[in-house]
Amino acid sequence: MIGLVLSMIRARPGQAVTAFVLAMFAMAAAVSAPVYVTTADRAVVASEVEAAPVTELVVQARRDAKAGDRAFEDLVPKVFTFPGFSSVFSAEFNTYVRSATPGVEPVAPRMVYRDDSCAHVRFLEGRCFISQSEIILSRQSMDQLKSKVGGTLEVAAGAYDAEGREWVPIGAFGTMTVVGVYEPLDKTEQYWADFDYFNDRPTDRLVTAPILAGRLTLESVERVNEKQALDVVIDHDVITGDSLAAVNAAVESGRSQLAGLSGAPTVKADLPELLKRIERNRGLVAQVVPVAAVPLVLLCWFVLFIAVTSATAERRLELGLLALRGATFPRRWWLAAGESIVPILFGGAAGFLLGHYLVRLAAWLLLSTSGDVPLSAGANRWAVVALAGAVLAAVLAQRAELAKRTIDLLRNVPGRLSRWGAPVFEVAVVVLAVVAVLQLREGDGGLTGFAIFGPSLVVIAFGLLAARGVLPLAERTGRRALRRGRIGPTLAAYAMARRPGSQRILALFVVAIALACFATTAATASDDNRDTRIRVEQGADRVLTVEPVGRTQLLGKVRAIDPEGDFAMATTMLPPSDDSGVPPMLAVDSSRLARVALWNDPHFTAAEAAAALRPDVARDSIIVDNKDVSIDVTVDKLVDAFRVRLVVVVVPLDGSTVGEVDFGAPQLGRHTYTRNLPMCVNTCRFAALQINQPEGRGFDATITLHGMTQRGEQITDFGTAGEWRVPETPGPRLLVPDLDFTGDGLRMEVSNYKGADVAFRLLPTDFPAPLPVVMARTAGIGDHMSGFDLTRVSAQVAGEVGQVPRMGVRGGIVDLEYMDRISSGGGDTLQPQIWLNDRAPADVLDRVAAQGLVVMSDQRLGPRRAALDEQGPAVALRFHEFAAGLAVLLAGGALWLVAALDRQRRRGELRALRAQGVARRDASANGYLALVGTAAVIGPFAALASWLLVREHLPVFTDDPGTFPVPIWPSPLPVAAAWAVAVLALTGVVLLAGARLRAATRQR
Amino acid sequence: MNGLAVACRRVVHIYRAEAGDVVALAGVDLSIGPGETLALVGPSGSGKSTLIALLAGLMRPSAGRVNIGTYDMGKLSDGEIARLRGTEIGVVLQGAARNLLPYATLHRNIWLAQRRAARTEGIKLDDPDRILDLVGLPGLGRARIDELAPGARQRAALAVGIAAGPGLLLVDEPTSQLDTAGRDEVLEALETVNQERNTTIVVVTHDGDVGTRLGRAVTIRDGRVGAEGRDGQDFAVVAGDGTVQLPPEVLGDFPPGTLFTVEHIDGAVTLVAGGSDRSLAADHLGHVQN
Repeated sequence: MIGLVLSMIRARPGQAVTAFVLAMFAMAAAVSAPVYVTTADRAVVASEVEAAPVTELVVQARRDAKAGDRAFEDLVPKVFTFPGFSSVFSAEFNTYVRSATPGVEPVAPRMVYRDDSCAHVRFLEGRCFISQSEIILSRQSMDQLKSKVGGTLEVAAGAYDAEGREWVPIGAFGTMTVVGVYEPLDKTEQYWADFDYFNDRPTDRLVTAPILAGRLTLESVERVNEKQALDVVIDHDVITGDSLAAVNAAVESGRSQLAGLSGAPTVKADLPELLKRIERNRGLVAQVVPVAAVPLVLLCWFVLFIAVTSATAERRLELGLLALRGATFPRRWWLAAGESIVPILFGGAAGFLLGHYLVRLAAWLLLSTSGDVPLSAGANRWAVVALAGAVLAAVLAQRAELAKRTIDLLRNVPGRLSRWGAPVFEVAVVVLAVVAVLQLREGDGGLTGFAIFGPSLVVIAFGLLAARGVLPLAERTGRRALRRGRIGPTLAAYAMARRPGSQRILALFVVAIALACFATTAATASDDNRDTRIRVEQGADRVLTVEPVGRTQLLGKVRAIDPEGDFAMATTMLPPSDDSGVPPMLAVDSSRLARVALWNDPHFTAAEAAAALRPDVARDSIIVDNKDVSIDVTVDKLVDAFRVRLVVVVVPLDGSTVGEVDFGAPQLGRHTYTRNLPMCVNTCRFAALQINQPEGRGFDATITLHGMTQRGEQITDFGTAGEWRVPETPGPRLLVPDLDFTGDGLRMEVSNYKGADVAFRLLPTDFPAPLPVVMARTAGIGDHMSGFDLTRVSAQVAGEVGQVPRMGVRGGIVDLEYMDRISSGGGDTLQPQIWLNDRAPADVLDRVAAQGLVVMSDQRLGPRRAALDEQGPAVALRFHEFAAGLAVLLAGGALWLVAALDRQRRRGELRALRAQGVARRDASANGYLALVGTAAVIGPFAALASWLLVREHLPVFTDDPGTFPVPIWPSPLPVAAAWAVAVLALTGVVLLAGARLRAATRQR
Repeated sequence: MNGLAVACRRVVHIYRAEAGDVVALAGVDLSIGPGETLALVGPSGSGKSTLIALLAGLMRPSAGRVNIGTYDMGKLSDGEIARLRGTEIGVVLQGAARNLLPYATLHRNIWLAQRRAARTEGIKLDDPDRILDLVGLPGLGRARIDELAPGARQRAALAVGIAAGPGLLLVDEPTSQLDTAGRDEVLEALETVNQERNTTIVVVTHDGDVGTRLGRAVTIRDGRVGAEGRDGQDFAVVAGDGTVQLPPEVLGDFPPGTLFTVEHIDGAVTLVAGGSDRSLAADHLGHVQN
């Protein structure tokens, strides 16, 4: 019998090829899902690891230990022994180093032992340390100490004397020999961890780079305590989908062992965050891919069903002949089904391989990975299901013909639709769709159980119902066209309404177009979502994170880089407030906000935000330099003012430490107090005038300020109301004088004060009060916030937006310059950044370097956006588009097949119509174009229905739905393009099929 | 295998249709002896094909009884009828191509038609080559239908019909669309089968010559046996319910409603039309030999 089946296949290769191809597609689609999941899983893990911040790939343990306590380093070889983990143990303490050269000021660098440190430095001179008394120093330290390789230094443990504000030795000096001068190979490499060894900023240590030495050398220095640290760097390659659990376990084990040591070690391991994110992304991929694969496999089965149904109908006489010869049912079944099943089995085998190679191709095209695509048990299970489904579809497709009476087969009586069968099937699909959607909407929001079928069932149900509703309309249209004598439309409408299987074909078209639209909608929405996310998270086209500098310095330098304010903007985070009600705030140079920042709120523009953040103020800042400043003051009263000092607070514009210049003790009567301002070589902003009282007892005073001059020029006469103010909320250390502007100056009075405050402060009104802020709508800030110096600052919400650049929905922005003016103290900026727009010149990094700013990281929108594209949602949705493409291809294939069979059947009748004078065009009107046109209209609505029903409940289209919700209406262009491509593809097939049908009317 | 007798008793068949029932056979009485050859002739729509479908067990009669050999076709299950068609009743459909699988050789077609019989005990099957010899297609076992001339195709269809060695062979229009030579080849093949196997053969044909050549031709008219020709002579036939169809050439003279008296005179039956102005001449009267 197999020989006969093979004869059939040889005789009708077209049908066999069709069954082969469809089975191959079904299998490929089914297999591709788990294979894609496995492949995407690798890509997602690799992408997440690649994009992970360094802190997530290191474990940092720190403790202050007694000198000689080696428990920490004894434990090191026993923990984090996982392959791919590299541990660096280090110990350090402060030193006090004296040079042998006379007149050289001692320095106070850290003495550091780090495992294998010599492999991470370049020797400018000399060699690495070997023996117990050998050390190596940086060039800067050598210059500072005026030492040479081979020279000796006196080294003792050091400590900072806060009272005397200087470093002092705290143990016996030992003599160390300098054997080498080093510089780090890469001071930003992870090896150096977060110890900030190579920050060149001036400090009172005088040198910043550490002395590097062996462990025994450190041991030889007399000291009480030392800091010990363990930095474990986890290699990127270690973290794979398979190793996640083991890596996590190794980290957790090491963490718990270290944390158990004495000295209250702190162990910081952010790896679990990364692993959690990876797991979430992997879960998304694993959940989302089947959502696309299921309808694709169903579609393959459906098309196979249509194909086999049509082919079997064409073989009706043959089946009748077999029945006539008395063939038994199994034999008849085999002879009927064998012709389909044999190619299906072969197609299944080919599809199994094709699925892998398709995924390999897709991985290469879509996932930036071309690794081996693995065979997996999951793929095998899907393969068995796909093959069983394909065979079942083939058998079901033949069921009706096999069940027919022999006489009906011989008479070629077409199958009649069961009166109830089709509606029952449609109702069942609708009910299943409703159940799936309800489960999705009412469940836990996850793609569990039946919910996975939700999107596809909605589309299929829509397609079936639409097909059922449209065909009667076609019948009516045909009758109307017939009454009007329009032959072509009549034939087309009747063909559409009455051709066996029209409803199935229409449903197929609707489903294919809808899947294309749905996949593109989801992918575009996700794409838009990632666009928004990256715009918000990044803040600007390009962001340079620089080493911390003073905020005034940052502001000034960035303005120097871009004097016109065309492309660069300084930003820095405000320190977290002690008040938990104050959300995180970002200070920006708002004069450049509109041009530089990526703004996301169309209702409140960046220009409006900038204007709101920078209202006009009463006066500009007072800028002074280092020359003598004279203050003309009359003291009318001072009560209990023991050791009271007149102090001017200035903020150097070069970012160096804020200066408090003591102008001396105020004397009764009118006097001029003069001092120079040594820290203001590069100019300073006059920040405040204070009367300090170190005793903390409080005092009464009446003081009148008449003027302030520098170089003989009056800076201010203190005579204009509104130009001066006192802190509104002075806090515990400040008392508040009453201000009175007299014709002769500004009178400040404090009377009957009994508190314990130590000063009162007068500030120039060079900032608005309350300070305007622009907040994310959901952040909420109340009426105050904290300044750079953590003092309370009155704030007023000047505008609200959906998402604030960099802050998202959880924070707000404030003007950096105003906030700087409000805040006393000249502390460093926190996470300072330079935001650049796309007009930034190519040499911007040089300009930044020329300003002395050290770039720590340079993040551009494109690469970060590309990194997001490699994460779970994007990767998973790419499979949706891939599957949608296959669905359209399948629908086109099915149309081609059905049209070919239709052509064989109708050739005779078409010729008869032609013979009766019907125009060829009319005679060959087949209604398929109308089917495609109908599906083109209905398909998008089916997709829309599915999208609206499941959109917010599929946890797949964004990995941070709280901050970045999925847009309801994605960008229309890609969706329209996908729709057009699908419709054009099907239309192309229809036109080709029509041309072949017309050609058939010519053949004799 | 000996030929099977066929007996139809008042066989009625009605096609049910939405537009109304159509009576295809209105009480056919027909007996065919074992090994007899018979042609069913008659105009299109007279019921020939319906009758042969009933004989083949493809349909069940609405009323009446059909016996093939010892089998009462009305009482057999579908499976039994299928088995019967696979062993004892051969059917050759109109149009040679409908009887043959186009992608299979003649050998394979014959082999396939023998499958049911091959599994039935007591049946000895002829070798396919022997069957092809029988129908005049020696050495063409490896040929496919599209490689054969029209006459040869029809004989190939015949070969498939007799492949299982049936006792009854039902052949529908075997000579239509054939030229004279082709027709003769087919008829010779039928005769050979009948002679060598004693197979009862029923042929549906429009061709009167075929009926003449087969020796007995039964004319089906309006769903009944209208006449029968034997050895060149035509006879009216008394049906089981006593009805007799007048020959068409006589019927034209007697419009519906014409009254007769039937008289038995000297061993002959004489029909005398009633009414004064419509007397009949004696040469118009039917005559039945007892």
